[in-house]
Amino acid sequence: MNPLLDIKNLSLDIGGTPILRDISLSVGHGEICGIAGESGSGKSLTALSVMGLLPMGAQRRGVVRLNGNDLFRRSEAEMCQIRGREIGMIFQEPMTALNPLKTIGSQITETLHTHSKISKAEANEIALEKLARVGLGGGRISENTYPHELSGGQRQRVMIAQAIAWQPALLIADEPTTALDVTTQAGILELLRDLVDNEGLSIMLISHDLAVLADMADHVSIMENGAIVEGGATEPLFRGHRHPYTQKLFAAASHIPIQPLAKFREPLLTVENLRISYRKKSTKLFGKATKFEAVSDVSLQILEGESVGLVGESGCGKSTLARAILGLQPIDTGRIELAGATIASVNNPEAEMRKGKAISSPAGLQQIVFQDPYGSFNPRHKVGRLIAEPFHAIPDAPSGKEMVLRIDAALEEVGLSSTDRDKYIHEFSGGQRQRIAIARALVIKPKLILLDEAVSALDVSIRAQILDLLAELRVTHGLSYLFISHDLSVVRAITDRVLVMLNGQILESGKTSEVLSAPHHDYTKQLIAFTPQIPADWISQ
Amino acid sequence: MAKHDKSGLGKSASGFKSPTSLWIGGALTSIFVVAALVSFLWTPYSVEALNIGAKLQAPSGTHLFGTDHFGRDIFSMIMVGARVSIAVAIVAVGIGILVGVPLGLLAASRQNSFIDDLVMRSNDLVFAFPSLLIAILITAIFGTSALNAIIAIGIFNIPVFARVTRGSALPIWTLDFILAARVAGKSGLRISLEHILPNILNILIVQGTIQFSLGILAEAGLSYVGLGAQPPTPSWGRMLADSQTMISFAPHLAIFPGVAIIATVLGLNLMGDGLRDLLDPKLRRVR
Amino acid sequence: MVRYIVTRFCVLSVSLLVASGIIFTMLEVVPGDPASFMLGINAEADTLAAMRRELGLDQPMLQRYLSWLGGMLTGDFGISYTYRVPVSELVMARIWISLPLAIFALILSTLIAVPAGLIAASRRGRVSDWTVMGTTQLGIAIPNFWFAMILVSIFAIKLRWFSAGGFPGWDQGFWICMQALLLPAIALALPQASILARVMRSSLLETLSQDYIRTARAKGLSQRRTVWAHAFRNALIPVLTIIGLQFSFLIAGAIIIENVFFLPGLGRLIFQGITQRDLIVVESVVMLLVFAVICVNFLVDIAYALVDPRLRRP
Repeated sequence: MNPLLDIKNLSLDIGGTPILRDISLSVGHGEICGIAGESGSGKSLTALSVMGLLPMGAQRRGVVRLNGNDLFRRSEAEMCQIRGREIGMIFQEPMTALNPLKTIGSQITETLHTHSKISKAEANEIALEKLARVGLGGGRISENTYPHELSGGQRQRVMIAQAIAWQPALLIADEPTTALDVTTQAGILELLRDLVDNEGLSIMLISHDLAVLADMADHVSIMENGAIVEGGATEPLFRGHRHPYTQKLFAAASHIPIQPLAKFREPLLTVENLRISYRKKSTKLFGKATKFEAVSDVSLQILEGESVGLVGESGCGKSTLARAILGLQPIDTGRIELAGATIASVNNPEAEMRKGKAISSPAGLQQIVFQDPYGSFNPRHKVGRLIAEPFHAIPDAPSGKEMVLRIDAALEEVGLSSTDRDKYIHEFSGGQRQRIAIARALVIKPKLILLDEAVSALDVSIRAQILDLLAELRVTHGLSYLFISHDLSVVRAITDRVLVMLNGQILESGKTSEVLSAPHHDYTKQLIAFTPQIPADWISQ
Repeated sequence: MAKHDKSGLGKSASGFKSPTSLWIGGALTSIFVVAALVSFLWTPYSVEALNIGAKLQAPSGTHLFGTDHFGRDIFSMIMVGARVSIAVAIVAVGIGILVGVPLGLLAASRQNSFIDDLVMRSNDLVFAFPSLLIAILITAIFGTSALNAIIAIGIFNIPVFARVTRGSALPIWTLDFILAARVAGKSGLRISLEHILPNILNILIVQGTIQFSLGILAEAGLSYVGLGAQPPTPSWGRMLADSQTMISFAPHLAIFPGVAIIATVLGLNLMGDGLRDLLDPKLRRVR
Repeated sequence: MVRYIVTRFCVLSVSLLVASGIIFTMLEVVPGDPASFMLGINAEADTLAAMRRELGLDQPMLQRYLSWLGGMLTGDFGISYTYRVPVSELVMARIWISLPLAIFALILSTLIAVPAGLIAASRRGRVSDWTVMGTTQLGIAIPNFWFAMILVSIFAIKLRWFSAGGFPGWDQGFWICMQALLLPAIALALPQASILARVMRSSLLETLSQDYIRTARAKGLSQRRTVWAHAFRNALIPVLTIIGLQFSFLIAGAIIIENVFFLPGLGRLIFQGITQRDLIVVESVVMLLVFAVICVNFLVDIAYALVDPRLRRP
């Protein structure tokens, strides 16, 4: 039997720049075909080439056959009939991929109305059926809801519903779960798997996450710089990977930096009975504002030299907790103490509230590294000035030549050179920017560095380098880390102890290796079970 | 995993347009600025001397743009008129920037606070008074003068700049480098000046040129209805008002001042477009 | 939705109250006494006092403000100092020229701008885009009163297709009046249409780069249908804002344009009021125009909620 989708020698130029070279791959009936690769490797453009939705000035060559039908020979009008009817597509960002001004029902029926003259009632019936199919049925979600009323996972389900409304043979899923939490991701992946098993759908699954592909794909193609370097059935490929790039990619994905021997002394950070709440405006006309507790009764301790992971899904309160430790967040009650200094302390909430919630200014004992290497720096300042900013926080800040020496020392410690001091941030890559962010945190010699998803936006190979750097700096400076992440594999790689957070509370804490291998709490168990993993015996060889 | 420069702050090298509109706009604008400056030292004829014998002459070698009903040289009057237009517009934009930008920065640094609400609501209120109505009120109280035009246009510019400043500052306040500055213990004022202002400067420059051109138009309108510069000071709007009854037999009286206004405004707008492309291709025009 | 409308209505009422306060106080500080102005310099002291009583000028300021405000709510704007007739009569006679003119211009400008912006955006970079962009660039730069003068000299004086000015009155028939308003409305609409067309174009281009446009294309909608079904309505939101703002420019523009065409509208009334120092007329007309602008902005806010469901259910 011929494959459903057969791509032969696909090449792509955009504005004269070669983007894709000689891509050949095929998707069989009822198969999931994975495409892996780091950012810029051409995964998404391969998919868009198949769809015929390329940007202006794109030139494609080669043959793409869908059920024997050569797609590159079809006119634009014919392609419109194929899109949505024979090939469906879903995207990474469920938050922006739906039209905010239209109900989800009308966005699903639109697929139907585009391809046939069916009646409104009939289309509506199919839409409800599809909503139920993607797990939004049973009257839980009305077809008259608007996208902004749904969560990210629900929106991605609506996206799937509209993509499969016409029962296409092929679904192209471009990083469908990258923007979602682990448990939500598991639900979406399960749904996709179910559609393949029970409805004969074929999926071209694009992902940067090798574990997701190990879990889902029948065979995988690894892309680098617009070309496929290696491809084959998933298990043999994962066990055998021969190409040097594939080997590098796999090594980086499961990289664990050399950890220092754990010897912890005094407690560095103490958080006691911390409560933080926000006011939420009522949706009723004269309704009272309600209190929403983001952090409820949290106590924790970090010892000197210790690296602690804080794991939880979006909205669990981990960012609020981090801001409180930085001294930027007014608290309701509780106490935060860092190296003997009080960051925040509220005993009598009533009295303090009246004065305006109490916060003391941070004293330069703690610093932070952020996730987004692009928004973390003022693009108008030179690197030297960016790194010097934390000096503002400490009383005996160096100036003049001494300050420059300190900046240069910090730059060299993170693997950059003093000549980078006079450059602007846009001259650096994502990984280099993250190094600069670490230099900025390091320059005032803090005791504690908060790493807020600090490696989540990086490609695996860069991520491995940054993790090594963090492990090394921890030894040389006796630093403590609070490593906030949703990614269990990273937490496993770099932390001694882990805290699991849900709904503003810490559910479980303990040695990282113990918690991750033998969790006590149901939520932790679920979290670990839902995290895709490359089977251990595939790697061990 | 596609990565985008989410902040929209990075310099985007792609999509860079050739600054043709900047050159044309800059050239047109400089012609009028130079004419206004030269008029302080020299004009072909005096604009105060009446010469009834040479009245309503068509354009010729001696009078490049012809003469008006008092025999005054139109070319010289346009030179001097440029002075008034440009001065009024510059001062009015200056008022808008000096008051509006700090208000906008303040509102953005205290988002959703009482101060923010107060600034924004008063902005909305001022928007309900077009500059012409403000000019009418001021004239009703203090009588007519060129100062009215400046104050009226200036007041109307304040909410424009406050709104643009706040609107472009808010997304920057959500970026991580602001949090980093707060971790370093910097105050809202200091962050506004050190981090916010430099990053919205290009937007303010572009808005400045737009308001400048709108100021020229508004000044012309006000002096046309007699609420701006008073005779004998020549001004473009006033010249057009005077020409109205003679347009059928002396069209040059209406054409030259009109073309002067159009050319200046066009020049400023082209310059604004060019600057916008040059400084940040992603910037959206706010009016 | 109800909550939203009520909130916007409260904003509307407070704005009106503050605006009336500003206008009243501004004219309070004016030197000079309307009573002596009406009676001349040689008036007797007791006649003056009687006149001041009649005009209510002897009462404290707050009370006069409240009675002015109360009067306006019941349609009583006071009595003109110079004409000695109720201001409401003067206003009523003229508002039926200014208001239709502004609305006519607003409709005209929207009818020109939206299709022009649509064409320019959907044919980005092609000849029609360049034509629209060039024309609008020029349109923005042209002062509307100058454009009005040129229109008069061509179509009224040279070609004699229209009368050069004046207004026949609505009792002469609808079409005759519309004919008299056509040139002024075109002159008013041109610059506003230019601005609006550019906003429409850039808003549409911005919308077309959104993720959900790509989703629609992946569903099999053609480029043209995607523009209609997804981009157009979403692009209208910023256009609505500009239309709201433009109304205040149209009101101001109408005052000036009425001068060119000798239309006896509110603009003429306000200038007569200024030259004759008939402050109560100025005060009332300015208040009325501000009222109109604030009301239009209220309507724009409601229109937002109709277009954007995110505002309807907070």
